[in-house]
Amino acid sequence: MRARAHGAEAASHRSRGMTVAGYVGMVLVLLLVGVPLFWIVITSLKERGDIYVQPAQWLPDPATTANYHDVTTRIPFLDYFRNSVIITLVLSASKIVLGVISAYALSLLRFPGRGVVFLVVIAALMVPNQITVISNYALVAQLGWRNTFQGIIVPLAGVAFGTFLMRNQFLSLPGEIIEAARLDGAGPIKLLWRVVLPMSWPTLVAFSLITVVNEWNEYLWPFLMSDDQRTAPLPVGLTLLQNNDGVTNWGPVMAGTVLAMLPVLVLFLVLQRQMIKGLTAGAVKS
Amino acid sequence: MATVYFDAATRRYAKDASPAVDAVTLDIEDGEFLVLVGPSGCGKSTTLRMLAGLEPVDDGRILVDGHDQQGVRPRDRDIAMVFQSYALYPNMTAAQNMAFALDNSGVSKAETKTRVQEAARILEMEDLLHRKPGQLSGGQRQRVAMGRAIVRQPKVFCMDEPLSNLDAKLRVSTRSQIAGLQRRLGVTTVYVTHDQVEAMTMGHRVAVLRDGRLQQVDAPEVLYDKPVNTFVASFIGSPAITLVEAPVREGRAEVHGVPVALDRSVASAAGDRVVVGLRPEAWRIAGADDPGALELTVELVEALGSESFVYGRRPSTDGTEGERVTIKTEKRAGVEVGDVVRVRPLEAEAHVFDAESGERLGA
Amino acid sequence: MNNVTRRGFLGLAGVAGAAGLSACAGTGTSATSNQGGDGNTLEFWSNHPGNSKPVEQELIAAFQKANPGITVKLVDAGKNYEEVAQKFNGALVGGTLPDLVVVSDVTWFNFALNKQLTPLDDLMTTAKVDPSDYVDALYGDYLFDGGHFALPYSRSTPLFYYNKEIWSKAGLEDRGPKTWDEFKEWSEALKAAAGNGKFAMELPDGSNYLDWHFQNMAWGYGGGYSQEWTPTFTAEGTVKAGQYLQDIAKAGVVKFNATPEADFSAGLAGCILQSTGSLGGIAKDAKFEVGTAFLPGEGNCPTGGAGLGIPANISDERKANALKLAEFITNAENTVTFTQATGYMPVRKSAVELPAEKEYLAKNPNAKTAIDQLPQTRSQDNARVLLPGGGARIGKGLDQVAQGQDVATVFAGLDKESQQVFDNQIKSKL
Repeated sequence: MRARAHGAEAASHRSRGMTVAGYVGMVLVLLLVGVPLFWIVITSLKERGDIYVQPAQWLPDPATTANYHDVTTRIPFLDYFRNSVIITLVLSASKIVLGVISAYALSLLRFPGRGVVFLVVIAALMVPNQITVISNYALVAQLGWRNTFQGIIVPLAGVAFGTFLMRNQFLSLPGEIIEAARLDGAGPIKLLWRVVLPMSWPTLVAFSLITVVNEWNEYLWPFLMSDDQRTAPLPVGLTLLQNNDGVTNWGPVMAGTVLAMLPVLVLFLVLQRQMIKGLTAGAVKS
Repeated sequence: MATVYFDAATRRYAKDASPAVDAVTLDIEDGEFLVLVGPSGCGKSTTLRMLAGLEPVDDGRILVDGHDQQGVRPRDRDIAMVFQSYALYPNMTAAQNMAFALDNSGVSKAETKTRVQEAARILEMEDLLHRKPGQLSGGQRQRVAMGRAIVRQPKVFCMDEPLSNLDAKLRVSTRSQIAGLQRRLGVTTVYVTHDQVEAMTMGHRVAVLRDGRLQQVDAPEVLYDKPVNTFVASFIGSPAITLVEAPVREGRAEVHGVPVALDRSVASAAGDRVVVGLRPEAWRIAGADDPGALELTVELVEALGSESFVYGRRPSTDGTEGERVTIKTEKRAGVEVGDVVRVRPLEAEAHVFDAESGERLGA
Repeated sequence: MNNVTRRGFLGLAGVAGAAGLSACAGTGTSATSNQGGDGNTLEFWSNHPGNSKPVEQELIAAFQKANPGITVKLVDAGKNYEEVAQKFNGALVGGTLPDLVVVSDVTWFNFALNKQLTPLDDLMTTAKVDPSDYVDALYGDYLFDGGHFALPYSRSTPLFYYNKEIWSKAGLEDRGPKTWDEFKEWSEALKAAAGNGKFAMELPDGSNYLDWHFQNMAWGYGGGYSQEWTPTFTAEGTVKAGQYLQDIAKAGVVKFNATPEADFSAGLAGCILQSTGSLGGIAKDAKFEVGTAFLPGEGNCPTGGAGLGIPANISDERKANALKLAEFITNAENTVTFTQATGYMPVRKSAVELPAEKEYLAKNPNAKTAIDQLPQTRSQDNARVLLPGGGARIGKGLDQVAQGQDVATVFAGLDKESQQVFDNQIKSKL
């Protein structure tokens, strides 16, 4: 309340210049974020000869969808897309479930050695990916899992980050609500599902979104594990559009990028409302 | 419904620290409304949480209906708690909040609905049932929290300062509602507060805690009339009792030079000095001709309408200030700040305590 | 302070990484030895250089037809040579080795040094493959310790590309400069012809293979990066070349950039040095007439690109079949098919005699420049291609030179560093 009143007061005092400056700032940020995106989109609609020209062409002339056609015919785009969806869905689901469950155990259940387990998890977070890649590779290759979905998914399913994030979220919840639920006879699962998680939605949604985006863009491990379009996800598949030793035709690359970007963009737009909404309001009086 | 028995129950937060709750022994009858009162940090909330199973009992034990609760999980104790913060589930409506415990214990849907409706009717909140806590006012949330406890029909209610977040007016009305509700339902209730008015008005008995130790458990009027020590005497009663350290001469204590005759049994127990406690109503205005009266310079007058409280101090004779004395007067005594009033203590109403230990002397 | 701790941390990470590597190497070897395979299913790990996947598939289909009973699986092994090497490294630790793998001019040696690639000479003798038909400079690149560790595959050299419009505006003959000194004489006219905001020449920066092209300058002035294993950065010719690079940079003649071919195609640069592999792409992107010429100088054009290697730890049967495949896709006929699709250079001497190639070269004079330049090529210096991190190290030094740091000092530093790397990492293994 006070903040709003204060804001109103400030607004009435604010000069026109400040307002203009605010809008200029907004426009600048928008340009900063928007121009590269815009460039990707228009490049994907240009003919090859129009991509490298001086002065730059801001609108494709003539516009063409040939690049999109190129992406879907030159490489097995749909196969890569399917693989990306499978890998992202399974990985995100397991990461979220594991993250929530382990964080729950580490924050709200009491058991001996809890602190040590948490330390181990944090330590795991510190180990750079590049180091575990080698040992994971050896393990997965021995299991005969190269070029399989389980070979790509299982080693990536560990979740130190999610555990850390969700644990801190759970610890920040008002303790009295947890106690109230315990007194109300809620068992561990019910406590998690009916009380703890509903109060943690924004964090969980943010964590899920980060996870999904990460998995969708995961490159190194799937690249090492997959051999062809049977298992390779989009980021690996799209590199086939780039010429590795010579001049790349950027049109199809950009078209592929746009297509790969869309699902995550849609997901983000759907979930962002959830993230903003705080749900602890009215839970406790502080 | 159940009896509750604290048997030297002790709680230590750290091994070497002094206990937060120190060997509290307390026998609560079935259906009794017991208020735990004391200043903040006295261990009253911890005592309550031990009963609910939210804190372990390090020494001693707690019996409910004669059964030791050691190792019994909170959910299995059949104790409902109303938290200071209400601790409502923000994602559930008022009705769902109340029904949650019943769902968990496998009560049928129909039964649950009946009980929630009944509780809502008792608490006059039928039209709020579909709202979520975020859409409720403080008082309404407090009622939902009460409702959540009521629907369970538990053996014991535990209430942890449930009124401290309400405004003064609402607090007074809710106070009597809760007391009335408890009498009606007859559920054994342990109620924690730091507010001595709540303690005096709500409970059958009041237990006063200080530094984790139980000082006195008694009916409110006994607590007022026969405080066992200076701490209870000064904690109970508003405005506070005036405690004056007085030398004893020939069976009389001299309160600011005014002799107060001591009961024979008291006099024999007293040493050279005692502490005399006089409540505001234990004084009368003395006439100008009364030679033994105490003269006070008035520093503050609280006129409450039906009565006034006068705070005064004995004029300094030796450069030191005397203790402040609080006196209750008739509504139109016409005393004003700066006046000098002459008062005399009523000997029969004087509480006498040992100067060293602060314990009450005599009966 | 910050620097020190970060380096300390990296060091720690390195130790941990090495520990992890060696710890797992044990488990990996056991997996390698028992993965014999039947030898009739070959895995070919390729990054499809020059967008060559369709061609590769075509060649593989032809191979399978010619060799019934052998199946070849083409694996997408990365987007560039470094990624193929990375994936191959993973396989060396973890097992399931490929039968044939693409190795570049800078990645093959480390595998050869650690005996992870097979020397091909005996295999070729057994299979009666005559190595003398391979272009000598290209085949000779893979010689180490008396054996050849790869067959040339997607091989390229730098070419001098120029914008004919700017050339005629500057009043220059329609040819490349004969020497770097001649280019310097032309540079003022070129600058004027290119106009404002454009440059007479663009070169890639040190992170984008400037070190590859600069060999040409160094050799042209009689210097080089090394003689065998001895670094020669401080030699008179090398320093002179470095000074030349700095001079034209200072004079605003040349601009350094990650993708000079993009600017060139957009008409922003008068000329560039770029791989022959870019020929097709530049021809498609540019909206003006593109000329190609030899690099300035004589006999000082570095080779580059990649070859095909066979892992050491696979069964002899697999090795024999892998060689069969490697020979097949690099034979005269197929190297022509492959290079015409990509812009690389035919790796067989006899290839240029084939009618298909003759016809193609007649139609594409720019492609002919590349092939005519072949006799002018020279195998690269060890300090760049064989010393670990050589390319990146020299590239960084050249960046410093281009930015105006003292040439002699920078090159002396390179000399010392290269010697250290050799002493620490290579010497004992030779």
